Amino acid sequence: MVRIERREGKGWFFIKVDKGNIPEWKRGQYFIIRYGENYKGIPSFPFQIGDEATFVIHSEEKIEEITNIEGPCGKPLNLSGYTRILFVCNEKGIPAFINIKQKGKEHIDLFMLGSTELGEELGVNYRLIRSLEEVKEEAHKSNYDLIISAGDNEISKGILDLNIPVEHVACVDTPIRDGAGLCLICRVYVKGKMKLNCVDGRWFIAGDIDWDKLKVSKEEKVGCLRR
Amino acid sequence: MPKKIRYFDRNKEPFLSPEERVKTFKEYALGFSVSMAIDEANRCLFCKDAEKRCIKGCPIHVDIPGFIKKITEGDLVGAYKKIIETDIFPSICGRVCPQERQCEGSCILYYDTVRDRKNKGLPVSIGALEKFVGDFIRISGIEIEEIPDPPTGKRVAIIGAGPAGLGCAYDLAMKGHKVYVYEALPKIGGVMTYGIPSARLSKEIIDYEYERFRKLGVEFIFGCVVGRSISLREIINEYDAVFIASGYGRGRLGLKGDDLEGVYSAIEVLMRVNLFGEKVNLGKKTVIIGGGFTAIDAAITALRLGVETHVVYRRTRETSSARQEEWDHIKEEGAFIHWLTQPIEILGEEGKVKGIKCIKMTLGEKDESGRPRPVPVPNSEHIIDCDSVIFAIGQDPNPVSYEDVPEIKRDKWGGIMVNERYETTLRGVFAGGDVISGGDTVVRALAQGREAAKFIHEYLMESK
Ligand SMILES: Cc1cc2nc3c(=O)[nH]c(=O)nc-3n(C[C@H](O)[C@H](O)[C@H](O)COP(=O)(O)OP(=O)(O)OC[C@H]3O[C@@H](n4cnc5c(N)ncnc54)[C@H](O)[C@@H]3O)c2cc1C
Ligand code: SF4
Repeated sequence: MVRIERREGKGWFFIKVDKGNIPEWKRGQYFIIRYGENYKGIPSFPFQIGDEATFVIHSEEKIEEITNIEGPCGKPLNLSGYTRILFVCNEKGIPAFINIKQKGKEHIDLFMLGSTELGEELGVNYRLIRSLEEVKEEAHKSNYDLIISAGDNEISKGILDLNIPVEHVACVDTPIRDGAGLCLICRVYVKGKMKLNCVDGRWFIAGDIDWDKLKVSKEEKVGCLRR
Repeated sequence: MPKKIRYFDRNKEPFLSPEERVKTFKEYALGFSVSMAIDEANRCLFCKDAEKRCIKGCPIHVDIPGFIKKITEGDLVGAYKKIIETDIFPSICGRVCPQERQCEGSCILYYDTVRDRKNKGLPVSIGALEKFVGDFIRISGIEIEEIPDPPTGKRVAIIGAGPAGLGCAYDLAMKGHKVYVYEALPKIGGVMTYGIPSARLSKEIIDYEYERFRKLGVEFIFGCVVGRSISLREIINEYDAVFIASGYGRGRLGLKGDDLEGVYSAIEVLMRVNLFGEKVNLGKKTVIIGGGFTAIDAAITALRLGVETHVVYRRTRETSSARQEEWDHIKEEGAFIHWLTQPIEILGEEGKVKGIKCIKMTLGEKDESGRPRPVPVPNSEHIIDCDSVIFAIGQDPNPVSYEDVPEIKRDKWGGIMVNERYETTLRGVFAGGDVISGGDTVVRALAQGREAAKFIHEYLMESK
């Protein structure tokens, strides 16, 4: 029912679950994959390959057994009214991209920064970019009516700093624990008000977020740097 | 010969020494031995009017002299059966109930509730006896048969596996209804699992209780966040009745500087340590704000993480809602407690906590709650340096499960409004526990869950 599919030497691996064994998710919802006797959890966006729900887990830890899968969590992403979308991410944001792409018919282009190994493995079409400036140039040329950013928060912040006159939704990356709105570890300040990434997120209007107040744990920062 | 009244020789539960217990998350109250339990049980006077005394003081109305009598007769199975007529979790309530304000506070040896006057003695250790009985049955592996009525064909959904949800699930399952409990977390227990540290309540007990529910045929759907994974409306459409017991468990912050790195809700610290087994990095010195159960539990946890622990509370020990003995315990373990101290701002440097600014308080006129209102002492501002701050000032409602169903009327704080039959404003949907009370105790949540089950059963049988 749950398979762990490893890839030697990569910083990620796959968890695959028969579709019948997992609740259906809506576009933009994520799950928390829990492992070990302490139910440590990693939030991950699902997408479908064949009859299986697939999760990509970015972790160096040796995970032997999945003990619980919580979800679908978070609010769905509503893209009605948008037709041409530019999705910008690094490797970490690819599952979110496929999740969004699979559940709709809009035209979505993918721009990727950094390593593309996972993208290759999953057969996604992308354009590799060297810097976020390329997003700005392309947004001018092609008529995108929405930019979505995902992966590390630096990407969302970087795009925001470019002041591109196109609406911008960001998938926010914070630690998440219970996924039910209890502990506040995932708090995000949106237009000065506290929201919870686990239940109100993971999608927010990028310009409304106070990015400097996001709680990113030290371990995560190190993780970010390593990537 | 009339029974000699033993006012003072109350048996004290053995404890680990403070030096030992601060090194471990294992339970520090070790429980009565058989001989201590029998000796303590023999202190009971078996008052004829106990329903006006200890039984009344107990929120779930355990037949206290009834079960204590069985202990004196050596019939521990009988004692257990007597307790679970009302309190299905003797090992849990025996540990976590504030007995000094409930049953023990109404024991005739200590307080004559009928004449409303203080007596000279110490109460019977009702809590420790209840714990002893529950633990004896669990540890000895004696199977107590709990046989449900024949199936009724009715299906009930319960949202939340805390004490309210579990209490309701138990009675409905015993009545032959098929019960499905939707729980966001991977384990049952609610606050009992993720909030109360295992130093006060071993998680083995919760695992044992889980098996009892499984034997009764209760189905648990873990990892299901109602309102996100599935909508409450879908659940309402699918079941004959619904009971919402999602608690009042959202952590709360609320002070200038609470967005700094190093600021935590107590729920975060407790959940990460208790449920997920993490070692939260609180730095070298932490300040906990609050004076209730949660503040104590945060202190117990911080001390065991090896952190210098300070608790600031704007009132006094006597007016705090935590158990008096717990203050002694954390003090013995090395916590610094700052009474009559109100935090006013968290101070930071480069986005990180570096201290907390406080002001001293003094007691003034009585407020609406009847307690003297703390008022600031002029020019008494001072700073306590620290690396982290933990907010333990109560919780907020967590409306995720019911926020999309406006027909369920909410109170002004965001909890759910019910009538005396635990019915919400939407037919067939009931609610109980902290989600209706705004935060209370385990035994009250349990009692409400069981009481609600009576009305749900009536509703189900009427709507054939
Ligand atoms: C730290 C702490 C220590 C305490 N110590 C004591 C003590 O020593 N003694 C005492 O008597 N009382 C104590 N209390 C109070 C007591 O724990 C509560 O009053 C009691 O647990 C309330 O029970 P409940 O079932 O209403 O809610 P909870 O115990 O909060 O359980 C609610 C359950 O619902 C689940 N849930 C919430 N939202 C959803 C959703 N959307 N979908 C699915 N599931 C959901 C939660 O995960 C949880 O499991 C303490 C409280 C805290 C916070
Ligand atoms: S009030 Fe005290 S002495 Fe009387 S029955 Fe209750 S526990 Fe026993």
